[in-house]
Amino acid sequence: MMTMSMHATHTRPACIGGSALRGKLLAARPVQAQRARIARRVEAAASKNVLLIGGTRFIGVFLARQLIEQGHSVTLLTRGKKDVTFQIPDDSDSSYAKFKDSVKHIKADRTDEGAVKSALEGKNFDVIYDINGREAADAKPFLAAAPGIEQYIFCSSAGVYLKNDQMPHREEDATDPKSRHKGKLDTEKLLSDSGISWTSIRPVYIYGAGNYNPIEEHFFHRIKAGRPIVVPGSGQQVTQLGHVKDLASAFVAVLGNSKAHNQIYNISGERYVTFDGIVKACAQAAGAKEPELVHFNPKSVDTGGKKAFPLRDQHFFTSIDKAIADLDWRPEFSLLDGLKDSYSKDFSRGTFRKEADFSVDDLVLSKV
Amino acid sequence: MGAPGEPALSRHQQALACRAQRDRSGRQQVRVCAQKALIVNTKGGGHAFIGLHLAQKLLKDGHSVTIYNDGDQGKLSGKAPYSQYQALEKDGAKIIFGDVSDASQAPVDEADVVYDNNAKALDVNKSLIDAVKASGGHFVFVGSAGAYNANSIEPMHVEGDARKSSAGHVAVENYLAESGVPFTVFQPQYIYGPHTAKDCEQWFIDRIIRDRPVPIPGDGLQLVNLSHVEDLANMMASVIGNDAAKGQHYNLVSDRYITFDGIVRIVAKALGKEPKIVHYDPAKRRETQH
Repeated sequence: MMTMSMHATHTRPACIGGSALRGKLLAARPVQAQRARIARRVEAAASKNVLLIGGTRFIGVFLARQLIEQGHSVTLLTRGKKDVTFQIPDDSDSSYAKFKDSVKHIKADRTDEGAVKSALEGKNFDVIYDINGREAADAKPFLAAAPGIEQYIFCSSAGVYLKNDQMPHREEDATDPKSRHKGKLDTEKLLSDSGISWTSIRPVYIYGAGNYNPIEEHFFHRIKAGRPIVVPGSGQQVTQLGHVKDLASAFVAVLGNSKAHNQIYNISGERYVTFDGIVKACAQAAGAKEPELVHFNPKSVDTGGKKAFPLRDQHFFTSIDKAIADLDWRPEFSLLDGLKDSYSKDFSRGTFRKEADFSVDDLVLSKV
Repeated sequence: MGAPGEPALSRHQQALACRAQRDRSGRQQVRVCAQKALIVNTKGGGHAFIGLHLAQKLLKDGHSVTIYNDGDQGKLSGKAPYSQYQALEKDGAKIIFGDVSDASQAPVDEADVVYDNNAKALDVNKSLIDAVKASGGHFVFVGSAGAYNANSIEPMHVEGDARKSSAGHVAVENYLAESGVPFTVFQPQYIYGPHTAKDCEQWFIDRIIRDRPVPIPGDGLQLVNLSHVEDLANMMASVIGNDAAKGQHYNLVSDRYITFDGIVRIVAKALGKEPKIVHYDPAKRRETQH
């Protein structure tokens, strides 16, 4: 379900003239504009021969489908350890059949330079999407094997930004050489030095059905169990969640886009959210009443390195203004709509990646 | 412009003629035709110096500026920002002091654009709004970001978010929308810069410059916008001749948030001092006060 309006999902108290005013302000962004944007994008990018490295886990699952819908030829490069195609709740039987028939597969280990070279030989890929590269060395075999590609599109991370008193993080801000995402920075530098046209996407926290990072799942488990939810600090830390389908459409929007040439883009949801707010939004998405929030001082509890809360304990959010200005792209999902989408297509069906484990919660609650 | 023998063009037609010139010139830098701006200005508070800097910017852009300032000239001229008005007059601005809730004293008729940097309630500026509507001008209201409803999930206020229906500013905003006058609303937050009437950055400077620790409530991670008044003046000046701005609200803020602790650090850096922060629990402080 797509929504254009970030406001449609919130229940707001009525205010005199408020809805008329809101209607006027929102009239600038009718639903038709979104369809027109997609139509323009399809015209702009002629059908490309796309290689997708890492197309079977989360982002790639949606990106591959969107690329095929847009008429591109998509080849997934994986080690072949898992099924390359599998039906997901967002598929209809016919859309999945079309996807399965259209998508191609190359089996290779991306770290094996020789294997990559022979795998790409004669395939004439136009564009490479590198979704799961971690270190610069991961990208090197592809730069060597396909020096003539039109565009190398890389999935980086907003985790590269240096912590800053002033927020949001913007693409030109200082990055942290000590970050655990240093490999992403190194890859961006490699691409920048390589001479090919490259684009790097820095997502923040990604969520959606099939998320292997237990973000919304962490809260859904506790909401389902009727448990209180422990939150470090004040709970007013501000962060940003981005729906995986919006991230995928941003990846599609940079394809063949001259504005994206050698550029970095932050991609995430349009609004920022507090830690407490995420808990409330997850409860609303699950149709449950608001759980008890228990705030704790993380310095006073030794959890032995285990996480009591799935998000880093700091403000962490980016401006997506550059992407909105350059790419003719905008997130479709508000936070609540996006969490409802994730809940309805994943957790509510009894699926999740990690079993519920409340041991750290119990430890924290015993100390509070 | 009207040729000899033809009736003089209305202000609206003149504005259109100016715009047409700009379009035909293509990429040449062409200024919007000189407009007549009236700034109705408040007599104190964090907003007060917006009028001064806006006037400076508009004069620089070649427009004519009248400030109609609320209050008593004798009482105000000694303090910032009004102490700067003499210099403004030398630059060509006309300054009048008086009771701005009396719209009949305001030179509205000639004004193409009226900036209301004063009213907090409709009873103060309703007649001004009506007068601007009657004379065909553009009404620009400086409201308040404080009138957004608090949102405990997504705290950053975005234009179009629900406003506090009981707030005086909101009654003005609603009347503007209903009245049919071409309007723009700006929602400011915390403002700093030269000649302010309010101690925003001064509060931090007073302590840091004396090497005193700065008491900060809570964990100091609270985020706010702190915006330079000249940036805001530039934003406000850019509505002139700008049809896209009509009927719109704009948050009148810079493009960054900063934490409370961050303010201490950046002020200290600006002063070449070491920041000293002491966090306190405001609830405990209230308990001990009798």
